Amino acid sequence: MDINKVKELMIDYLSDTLSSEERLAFEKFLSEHPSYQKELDELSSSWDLFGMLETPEPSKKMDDQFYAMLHKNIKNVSPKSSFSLNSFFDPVIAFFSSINKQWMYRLAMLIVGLGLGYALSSSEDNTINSQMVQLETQEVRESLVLTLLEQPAASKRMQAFNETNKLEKVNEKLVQALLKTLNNDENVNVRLAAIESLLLFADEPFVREGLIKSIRYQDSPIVQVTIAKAMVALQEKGARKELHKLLEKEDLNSSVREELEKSVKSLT
Amino acid sequence: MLKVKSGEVDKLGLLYERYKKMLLGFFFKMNHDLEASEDLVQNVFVRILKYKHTFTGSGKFSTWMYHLARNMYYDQYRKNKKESKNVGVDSVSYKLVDEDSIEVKLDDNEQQQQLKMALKALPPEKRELLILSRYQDMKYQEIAEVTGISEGAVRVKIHRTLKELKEIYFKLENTHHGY
Repeated sequence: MDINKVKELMIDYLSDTLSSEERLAFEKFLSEHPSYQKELDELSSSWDLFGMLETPEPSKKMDDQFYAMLHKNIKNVSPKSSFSLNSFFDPVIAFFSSINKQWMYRLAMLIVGLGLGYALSSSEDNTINSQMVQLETQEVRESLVLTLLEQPAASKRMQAFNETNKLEKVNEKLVQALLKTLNNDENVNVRLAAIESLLLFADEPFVREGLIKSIRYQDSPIVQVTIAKAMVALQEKGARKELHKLLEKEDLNSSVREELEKSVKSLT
Repeated sequence: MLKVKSGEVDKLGLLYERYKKMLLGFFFKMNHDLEASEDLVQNVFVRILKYKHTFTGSGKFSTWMYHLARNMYYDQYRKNKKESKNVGVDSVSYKLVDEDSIEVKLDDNEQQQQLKMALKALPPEKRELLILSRYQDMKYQEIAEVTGISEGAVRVKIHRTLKELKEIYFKLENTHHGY
């Protein structure tokens, strides 16, 4: 076999891209050529060594910067507020530069004054702008959450909660979407994550109400227990009725029953 | 991505969420500078928006994205090289001593540190092949497309680079234990 072909196969072998037949054939070839086997072993240790390199986690700052950038592009705002100071004064300076020095001095002071005023007022603009950016980031994140929640892959839906957790407040539409996920999602982990996210905003009455209503739709023991515990933590007495209803179900898991009874007791 | 191209710019958020960690990993393994890497990730997405009209949809989005990312990295690499030339040899060698032997070693364990140093000693074209094949979940055909060399050559180069990496790594280890 051509030496380069062997090298290529070694790399395929290491990165596990060979089919099972190709793999067997190559292993047979190696057993007949011990020097190549030795070379592969060395490469393999180098491959493993290189595999130990750490991968950093993206920071919140990076996320924020990205969403601020995205906002700017969505709104395509870039208002023409930043007209160039220089181009504005250029003709004026050109006109006065022919006049004497004293005039030039006065003119310079005027420009400094105007510049200062401009800087001060634009710094005010900047705070307003940054508030706007924040507001827009919130909006984009909300729409991102809504899109993610509709993804077919559970891992994508889980990402929606990461985004939700970065929100400072939620609106009703978003809460409805989260509750819909909690009540209908086929994946238990997704439903659990939905509870966790909703709890972050539990000081909103409509969030608590939604949580209470969703108790009756839960059939997974772990979700039932989690939600009951959450109700106890919130000391949400309104949940008693729904918990009782759940207890009336005959097919209820016995340890869940125990847990629910405890919860109801601590809510009375 | 085609949705982004047709004006649904907010869909870029999905692409960002999908690729941010991988891209950050790519840059970080190339330059070992977290802050600079985060900036590069941000710039890649700025470029994606700017050049969205050039994405044809015939190839994979990730291939196109790495194409942009590589260009970005090499632009900066060349710029840094120019700047460090201006600084002069003496201060650069001091800087290397600082960075490599004291500062980072406090944070990382020795092995990681040695591995990073060995990687740094490789030319970026070789380093990038290793990173793309091992960490970026790319097929060799995609790497070939992104880097502009043939698929066979990608494998042979990775083969050679793995050997080189190990040699450098053990050379470093010997120097270190020789103290």
